Amino acid sequence: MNRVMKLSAPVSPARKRTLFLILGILLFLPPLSLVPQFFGAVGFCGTWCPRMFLKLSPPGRIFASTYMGVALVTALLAVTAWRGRYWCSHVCPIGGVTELGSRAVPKRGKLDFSWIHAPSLRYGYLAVFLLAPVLGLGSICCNLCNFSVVPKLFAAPFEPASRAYFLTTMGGINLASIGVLGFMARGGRAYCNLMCPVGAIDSVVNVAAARLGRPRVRVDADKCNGCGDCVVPCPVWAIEMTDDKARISQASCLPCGLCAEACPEEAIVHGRV
Amino acid sequence: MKRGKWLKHGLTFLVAVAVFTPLAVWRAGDLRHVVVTADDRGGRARHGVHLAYGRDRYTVLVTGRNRLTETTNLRVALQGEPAIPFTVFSNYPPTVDLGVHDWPAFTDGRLMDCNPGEKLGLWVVLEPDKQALPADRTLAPQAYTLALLDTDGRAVVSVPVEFRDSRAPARRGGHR
Repeated sequence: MNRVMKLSAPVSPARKRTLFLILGILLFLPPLSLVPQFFGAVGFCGTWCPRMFLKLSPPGRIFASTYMGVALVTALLAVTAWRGRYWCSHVCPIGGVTELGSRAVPKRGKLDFSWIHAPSLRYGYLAVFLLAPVLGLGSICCNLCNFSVVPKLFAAPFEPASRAYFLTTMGGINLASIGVLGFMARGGRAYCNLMCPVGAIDSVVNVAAARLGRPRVRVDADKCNGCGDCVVPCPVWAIEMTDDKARISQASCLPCGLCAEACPEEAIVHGRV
Repeated sequence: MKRGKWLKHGLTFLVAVAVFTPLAVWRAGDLRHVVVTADDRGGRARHGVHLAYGRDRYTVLVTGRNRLTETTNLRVALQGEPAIPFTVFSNYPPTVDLGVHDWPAFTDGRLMDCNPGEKLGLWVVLEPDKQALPADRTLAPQAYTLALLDTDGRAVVSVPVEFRDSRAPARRGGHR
């Protein structure tokens, strides 16, 4: 029990997380692109691409040309194994933009995707992402890319190149998917939860680390009164009620702390599962 | 109950595979990305660019490395008949340049002072007159060459660009 840390600290973790997300946006996205600029990039395409090398085909060349993306994914998976999915919940500028953007959309206009079993769909997406290039069918990597479309969205007011992308068929499809599964989605994280290959691999590591006894967000069953107040705020619909107790799926959970804030019994803690 | 749950999960997985596989295979006919290497021997492109007839706007994204031995200016040319009006855009330099990296300046559609070893990143937007597709026959492919020319007018990269009638039977062995 002494290893358990309360998520509901005096300063709201949700508020702190918002600041982290804004910082992530400033660091990685145009017009500033503070971090990518040091490596000769203006967004996630190229050197910083965290998706391309996951295709595993052809490995050597892609590893060499997207080396910062490789480093980024390695680092974020290490953090996930150690403490949880903090990149996805606190830093990722792509998920951050859709989540913060969705807060500006009125609740009445939001779409609820919680009827979809997210891990099954996500792993189906990941299977196609990994296997289609290996089988020579093509690739979904750049066709449907969240890491490409969001930086271009930020760059579009300043750069005609990014505007040109949105006038193409795939640019329109990507923009629509970010709009529907991001900004319009309840919680703003449906794209992350369903169609992000980095998030999919991150969730696999999260589940493995939880099984190996690493601390994760969990429900203290003794304290949980089964009210279900934690279910609604979860942006990745990771909580379900089983036998009048909340249960958190580590396959989807981001340690965002929104459930802990909503819990009247302080039953949601960060500790060993 | 548990069996039903697993069935639902399995079906969701299969639906995802069924939806995303065509999206991996399909390529919209108005956007292509080609990776190139510019060098003194005429450069090379990893593959050609195939575009579908019948659109009024196409975008070709050309990215790659500059392996030339000297600093030069590069301009884009689209060789072939009939001429197609095009506009070139560049991602570089970034909107807020911190000055931590040397970016080629982009002026009048040219990349200025491209140094050996630097990256290339150009968006070429082609805007041909929209061609009506005849109902009774398919159109023959129309070939162009998208070239990067140095200050002497020498091609340092040449990318074959072909407009195809998407209704024509697919050829074997070609690049999409």
